[in-house]
Amino acid sequence: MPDIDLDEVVGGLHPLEIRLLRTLDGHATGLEADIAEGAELSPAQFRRAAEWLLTKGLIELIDDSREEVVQVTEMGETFRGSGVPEDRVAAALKERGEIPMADFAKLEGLGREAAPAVGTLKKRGIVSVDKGVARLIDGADLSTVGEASRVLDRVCDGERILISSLDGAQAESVRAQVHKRMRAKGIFWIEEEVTRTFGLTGAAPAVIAEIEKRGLSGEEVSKLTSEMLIDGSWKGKSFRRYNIELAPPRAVAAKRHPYREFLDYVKYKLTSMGFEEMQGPLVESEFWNMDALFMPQFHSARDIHDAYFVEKPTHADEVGGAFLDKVAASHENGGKSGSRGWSYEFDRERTRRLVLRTQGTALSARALASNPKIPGKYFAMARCFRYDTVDATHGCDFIQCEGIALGSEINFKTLFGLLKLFAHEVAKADEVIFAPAYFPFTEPSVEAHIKHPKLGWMEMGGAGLFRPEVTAPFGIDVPVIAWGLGLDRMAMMALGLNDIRELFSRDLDSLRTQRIDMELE
Amino acid sequence: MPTITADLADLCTLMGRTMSADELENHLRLAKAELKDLDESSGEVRIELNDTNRPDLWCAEGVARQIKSFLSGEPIHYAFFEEAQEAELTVEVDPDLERVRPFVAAFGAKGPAVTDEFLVQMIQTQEKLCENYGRKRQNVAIGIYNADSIKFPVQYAAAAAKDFTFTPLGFEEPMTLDRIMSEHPKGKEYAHLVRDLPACPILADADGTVLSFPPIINSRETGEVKVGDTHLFIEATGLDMRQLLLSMNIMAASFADRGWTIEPVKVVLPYDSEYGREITAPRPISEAVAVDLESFSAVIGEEYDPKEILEGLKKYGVDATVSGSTLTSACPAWRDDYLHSIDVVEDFAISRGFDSFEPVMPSTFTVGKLKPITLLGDRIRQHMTGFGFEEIFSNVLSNRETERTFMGIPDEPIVMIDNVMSETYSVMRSSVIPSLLRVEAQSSKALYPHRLFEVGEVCVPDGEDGTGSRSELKLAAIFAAADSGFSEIHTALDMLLYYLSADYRLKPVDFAYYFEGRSGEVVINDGEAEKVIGSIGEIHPSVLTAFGITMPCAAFEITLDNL
Repeated sequence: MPDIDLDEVVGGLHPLEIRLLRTLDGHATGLEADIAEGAELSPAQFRRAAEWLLTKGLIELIDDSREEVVQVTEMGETFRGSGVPEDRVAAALKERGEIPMADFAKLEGLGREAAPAVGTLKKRGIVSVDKGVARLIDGADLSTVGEASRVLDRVCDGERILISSLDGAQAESVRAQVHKRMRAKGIFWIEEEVTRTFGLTGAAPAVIAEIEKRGLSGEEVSKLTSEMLIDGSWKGKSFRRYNIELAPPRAVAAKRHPYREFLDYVKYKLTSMGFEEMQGPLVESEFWNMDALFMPQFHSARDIHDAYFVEKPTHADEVGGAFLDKVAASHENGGKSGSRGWSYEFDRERTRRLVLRTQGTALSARALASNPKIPGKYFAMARCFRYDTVDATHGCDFIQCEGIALGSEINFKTLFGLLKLFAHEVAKADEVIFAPAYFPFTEPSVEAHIKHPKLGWMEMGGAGLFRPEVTAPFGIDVPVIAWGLGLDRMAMMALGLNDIRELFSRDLDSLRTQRIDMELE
Repeated sequence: MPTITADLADLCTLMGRTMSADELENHLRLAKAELKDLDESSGEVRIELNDTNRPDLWCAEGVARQIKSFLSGEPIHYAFFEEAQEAELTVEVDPDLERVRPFVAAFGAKGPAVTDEFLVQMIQTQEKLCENYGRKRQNVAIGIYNADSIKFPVQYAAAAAKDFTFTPLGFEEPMTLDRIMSEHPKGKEYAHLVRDLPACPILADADGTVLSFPPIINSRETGEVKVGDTHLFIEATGLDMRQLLLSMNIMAASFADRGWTIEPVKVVLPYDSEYGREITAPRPISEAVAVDLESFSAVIGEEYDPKEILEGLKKYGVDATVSGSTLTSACPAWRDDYLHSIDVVEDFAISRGFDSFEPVMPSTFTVGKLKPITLLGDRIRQHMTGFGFEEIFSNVLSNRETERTFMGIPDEPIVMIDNVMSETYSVMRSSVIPSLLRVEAQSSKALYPHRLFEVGEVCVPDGEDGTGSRSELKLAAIFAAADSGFSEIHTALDMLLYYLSADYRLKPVDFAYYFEGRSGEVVINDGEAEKVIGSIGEIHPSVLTAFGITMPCAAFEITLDNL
């Protein structure tokens, strides 16, 4: 006997299981239907309880036999008492010798069933049809005529008739009338009945003894109801113990999108660090997207990324207002920034060209032009678009986390301080390496590499002090640091994704199973 | 960003010191460069150069030069940049070229035979300067020739495309310039740079032997540089003299780094350039930059004495002097990236090493804040999840088929991309409903019912706006289930607007994408006037069919900006 923990097994038994076990106790084996009846279980309840007990090894399947039971179709029931059409046609012919086909319909209650019935009798070699007149064939075997009608009546009277209990001729005439797929309506159908016999296993007696000892009847109450509380009847009842270790049924949870949950978290972090949100349009002019950031219009420094252009209208009506001249001067000769500029003629047509925002820094440029607070700190979670082939590492649009901080105490070392704070707060990384970098709008520029707890060394983002050519046109005379964080890889890591496109997945099943794995701190 | 290949042993020779790949990787930071690849067996390294304003670094010699200064603590000097050069070789320019491709700069180089590795590097440098810095040969096109067969003075002349003939590299017979532009592979690639000009530029020697048809192709006669050549002529043609001189300076420095002697070449222009009419290359091009000594400590955030600053700059290869509170520095001749004094400060900062700067937290107090619309969006997202809806997050880029055809509104305007990369991502969505329907279309196997919502950015065409469109935040929700209908989605909208304290009513209106008689506009009353903020209805079966959805759906959408 296997070593079982009686307490655990008995405590975990469902009332249905207890009732089934108690019914089987004292019998070596039992038929499914008999046990179910003895335990007062519905067939469905029996199946569930038997399933569980089989899994627990307390009962076993002794025998599994299948039998064919004759059942009557809805049409078959209309011939109850009057006989099936073939029998009635054969009887009428026996009585009259011959009948013109046209007259069959007049036979009471046969109607349209007559002609197919004659056809069937013809096939059985009992009837012949000649010049529209049906006759019994001389010497035909009429012994089977009437059998089907008799079986029909018995079934209709409630008798359970197994095909195996019928003799050959009866079985044959019943089968001839069985409704099958692709055939005209039949009179009978055959139900396959499974009869299972179960028995107790060697482990069962000890369990049953324990059930007896505890006085468990299987009649324990499962649910506490409102009525019981109102009338106080719960006091006298015995409540079943639950097996709480079973897996619960699946349910659909209404929840935030996992990627947005991640972005929300970063958003909370940044606001808690004193950053104020910036926003702007998805369709930008080259002015705000690039020119205001001192990215030269015709220079390889502009090639950092390519933009999607808008088809119609191609250009904005006007851009930059009073800042346009100043930005243009910045490019052409440095304007009042102290720079020599890029030394080319600024194209005022091109600056109005509409693009899909390529970088969140466009929002920083707009912030500089909107009378920012000094000292101030700003951030944006900006949707950006790049002219790039979409693949596992490039989305068609993506979210960039960008920001600026401005004030008289801002310098390269305070930029490092903020980047270190981001590394710690957003990426949970305490090791940061700062490497020289190039961006057309910042000088000095830096790239922060962090040791992510799971991804290892990775680039966290680029940053730097905005060039005077960027800030001077907007009348900003304090240092401004600008930064952009790459969140995609961290988000993919947190969500367990390998393909950046899955951040915007359209598959509800996979969204429902995605969860965020990140340390909340 | 340019990526170059180099040979580790060759780099070490140029730096004057052997170096492991790890050491190289660390030192590459000086050049804002990253080691991308190392082939251990061949010693070939791939280096990505991040500074698009430092074309001098896009070659092995340039990277090595930057590191060499750092290792020695001294700037590298070349005699031909230090003092004015007397040129024996001359290029004469045809006046007609002023309106064609006006400028040319050139130099000669004599030295040890061209090696395999030098040839690879030379061609790589030429290609990076032409393609990247020279904007695909438009601004700078460089030719390199064996100088032994060239008779000076070289002529830079204008020629007629339909008459002038020579045999281009890769072909056997003389061809007109027109034919070269339409038949030669390089002609087809670069013809657009000269096709519409009044004439074509031609470089020929004193005997009239054609050297090349810039910026397209060399002649077969002068051919290409070969391993073993010991005397070369290098020229650059283009639109901006300064860019040409910088390109020649970069190449001259590279030749000198490999022990070659530079022969200055004088270009005689019949018209003006910013350097006058007689320009001898190589020559310095950058003006001295004055830097307030204060700015070093102000930018970086720590104090330095002038000596430290001068030493730091020298290690970065930059000569400077201090007078009073001002430092004066000139960009090395192979660089032209000092636009502002801040650029000198960065050179110093890189030379000091970023790791030496202790991070400091700003101490001023600022108030963190979200935009009102973000707060509203977040509130709505919380309500919607509370009502049992699952949040979706979609791309903003979509396609016309999804946004317009499937929705049964093919003629409604939409913001489209001009330079489409892929049809799949060619328009900006103006509604969030199609995004949700696409999720539904792909999720028929997910356990029902589906209650989905998204608070998402859209771009709505708007003739009134100067940019032709406006960006908005919209909430859309759909309910998809066997028993889906108007009532449940209506309940969700009703609850939401109740909790947002919005006084609303539904006005029956038919839409192409909603089932007739089962849709309407969501109208709110803000106390003064009624305003349409969205729509609600059962999605039309033809729309569901177009999306491939087999489950009834009802939806609503409201614009947050209008709430």
